[in-house]
Amino acid sequence: MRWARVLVLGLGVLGLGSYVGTGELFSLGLDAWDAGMAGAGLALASGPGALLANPAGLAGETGLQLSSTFGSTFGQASASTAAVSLAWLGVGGVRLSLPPDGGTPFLQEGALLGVGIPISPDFSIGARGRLLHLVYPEEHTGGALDLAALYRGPVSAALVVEGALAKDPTPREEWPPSLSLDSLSSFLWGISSPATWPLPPPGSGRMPLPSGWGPSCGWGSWGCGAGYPRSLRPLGCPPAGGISGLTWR
Amino acid sequence: MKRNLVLIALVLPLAIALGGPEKLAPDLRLLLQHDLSSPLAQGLGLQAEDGLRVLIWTREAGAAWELPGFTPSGVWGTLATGWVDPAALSRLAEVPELLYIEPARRLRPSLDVSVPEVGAPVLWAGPPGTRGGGTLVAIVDSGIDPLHPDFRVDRDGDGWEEGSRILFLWDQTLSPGGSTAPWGLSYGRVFTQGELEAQIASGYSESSDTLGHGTHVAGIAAGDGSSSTAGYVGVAPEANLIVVKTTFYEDAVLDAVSFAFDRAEELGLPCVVNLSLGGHSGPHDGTSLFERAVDAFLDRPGRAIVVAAGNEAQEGIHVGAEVHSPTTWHLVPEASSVTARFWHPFQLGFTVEVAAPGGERTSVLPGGQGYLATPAGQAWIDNSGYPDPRNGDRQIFLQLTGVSSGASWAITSALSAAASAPDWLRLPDGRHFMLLGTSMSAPHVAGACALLLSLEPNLSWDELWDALTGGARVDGFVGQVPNPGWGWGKLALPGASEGIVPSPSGARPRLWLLESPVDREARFLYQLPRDTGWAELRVYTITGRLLWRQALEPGGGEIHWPLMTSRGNPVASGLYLAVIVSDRGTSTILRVVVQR
Repeated sequence: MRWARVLVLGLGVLGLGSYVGTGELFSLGLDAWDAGMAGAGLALASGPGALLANPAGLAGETGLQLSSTFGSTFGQASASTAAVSLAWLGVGGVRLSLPPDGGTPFLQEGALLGVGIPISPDFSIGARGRLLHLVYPEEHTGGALDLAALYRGPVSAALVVEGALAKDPTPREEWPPSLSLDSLSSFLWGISSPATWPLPPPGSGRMPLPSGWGPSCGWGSWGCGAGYPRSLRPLGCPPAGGISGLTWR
Repeated sequence: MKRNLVLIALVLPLAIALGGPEKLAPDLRLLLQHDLSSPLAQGLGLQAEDGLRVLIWTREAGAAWELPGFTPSGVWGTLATGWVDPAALSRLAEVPELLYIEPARRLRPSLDVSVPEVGAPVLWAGPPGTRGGGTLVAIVDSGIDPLHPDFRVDRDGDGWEEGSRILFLWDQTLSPGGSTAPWGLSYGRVFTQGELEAQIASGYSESSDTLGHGTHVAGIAAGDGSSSTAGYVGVAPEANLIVVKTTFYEDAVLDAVSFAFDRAEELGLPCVVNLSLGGHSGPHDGTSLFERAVDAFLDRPGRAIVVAAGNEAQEGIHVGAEVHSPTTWHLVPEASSVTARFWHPFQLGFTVEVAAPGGERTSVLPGGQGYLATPAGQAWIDNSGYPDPRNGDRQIFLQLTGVSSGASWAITSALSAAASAPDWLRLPDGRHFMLLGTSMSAPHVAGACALLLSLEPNLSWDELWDALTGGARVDGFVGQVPNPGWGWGKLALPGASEGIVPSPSGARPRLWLLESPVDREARFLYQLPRDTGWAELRVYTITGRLLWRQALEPGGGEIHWPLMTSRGNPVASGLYLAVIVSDRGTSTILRVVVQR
């Protein structure tokens, strides 16, 4: 794991003094179940949700799968996402806007394109491109290329490097790289306290995701999930503070 | 090696000495490597039409007229404004006469900042919310523009503001007539609300505010901001107004105060009178007959008077006079160098003549400068100053140098001509202009009194005093209070209202964002329930990641988020959520849009 230490250290140096929250819009697109599972989706990524969580999870997918979420984040903003996965490929969009209540207009849009490539039955790699379009209050566009790896086994492990290459969406605000690691040794379906270790580069401002709960249920090809990470408690109770979504596979 | 070190040691001081002081402001130095159309130049926000607008400082008075590449628009001694060709900046900086040059940066009016700063939106929002309805704000000043939309109302909802919030306008400067008699007044003329609304319909007002000072003051206290989209809303935008255009004589001012309180008594409404005026006569201890009379009006609840404190906290006041005919002062210096400033209303011009002890004399017209060299010393006279932005007045500047102690210099001043209001103080909307000074502070307090009286109409003046002083905000700028510069601190309505309308049981923390979007810091006002044990401001990303937390002082006040994480990293442009978390519950969540 020496290379991983070197990589974290290197990204950490790059991340010193860098801007925080540039690509936050795309985190809204995380599957409700993933959010409820406190970010464990990095190592459990599959289907359309893998496009947002870990594109390496797109490898080995077969057939068409759709995922869509819409909600009011903490009663403050409208966020909607849509993602489609089809045999190694995934494409999706994210939108965040404020209600037209006379306040400051705000609108951000994002688009994603990801690919997952199986290296072995247990190991895959992936890449993802993200396009960020700031519409209001000022129009800017930027983008980032992300790299990912995923090992599925008795102990699943994932690595995602976000912003390995990036074009800053706002002048003079660089889009910093970040590194997330995740492993999962056990899994209790529906409710979990997974071992999740997003390892941010020092100074990037990324903070560990605390555990939460995320019940989900399904019938046939339909599934739904609701998530409520504990960190959101000051911001309100479900449904205002939670995240919910609907998935068809 | 040793020889090289010696060489460096010799060369370095020499290079520093030859380099001399920096003559260009940092942003201008940056422009040397960038085009005016570059993003950098745009970001600096400089005025770059027909050249770059700058302020310069020269070694000798008047030298700006001769600087190459510089087109002066005004020269006042060693300072000047004008335009410079950006390509000529380097050449200009090499001129020995030039000491420093900096870009003319844009200033802005601040009513949209000052009203939130004093916490008025906190009381507007409540509970119980109030915008000053059911109270009277009386303005005794230079009059008002009754046609100004900020003092009008649209009663029938057709988009045309046909009504007036001015219940009475007494113009003391007009000849008696109309409806003056019913009010028992022997001079001036009173216009009722109905008459004013007829004037609005006709588009012509018989009483005008030629100075603009009174309209400005009224707008701060009770303007509703309907004339523009810029948000210039006064402190108590739903209060009704009584306006007296006064002659500014003490007796007339007292008549005005009496008139306002009499009308308030008849209407059964609480009333606060604003006096953004003052003088330097009397003993300055509240014992003059005028001051005693003012105090005597405050003999019952529901009355308050706010008086401007003056703009001279840092200056000694030596002499003042009203010049209706040529007037001479005799100045006997006690030092070899003496400075004298003669302040006068900006719309007036004075000719000033300086006579030396030996009889030599020079005369300077308004807008001019003069110099007198005599065996007894030199005199520099500058009679060309623009109005001072602190109080709108102009000053005639006199500098005596090399003078003999004890010799008498005579300065004679005579009224020259009326002048119009300066355009450079007027805002692009044509309906607002900028002024500073305690004349403008007073109506903030008057509006605050109106809001508090709206909450509790039977407050006495001393209860209002206790509420305002007790709730005042004290920070590093203010220092120990009370003091001559800051009084009891900064006006803070959230704290002041606490003494009048205590927090109900079960109250939660309250948080207000003063402006959005923000580019450097987000400023909040907050108010905590009285028995709050702990509270902190938290800022989250839109996905709920905690970025910033800061403990809050008990009570209420202002708090800033520097657009950073707790680890010191700047946050990117985007949407963030702010909330107060405390042992008394959480506040409502506020959206903070960061846009750099």
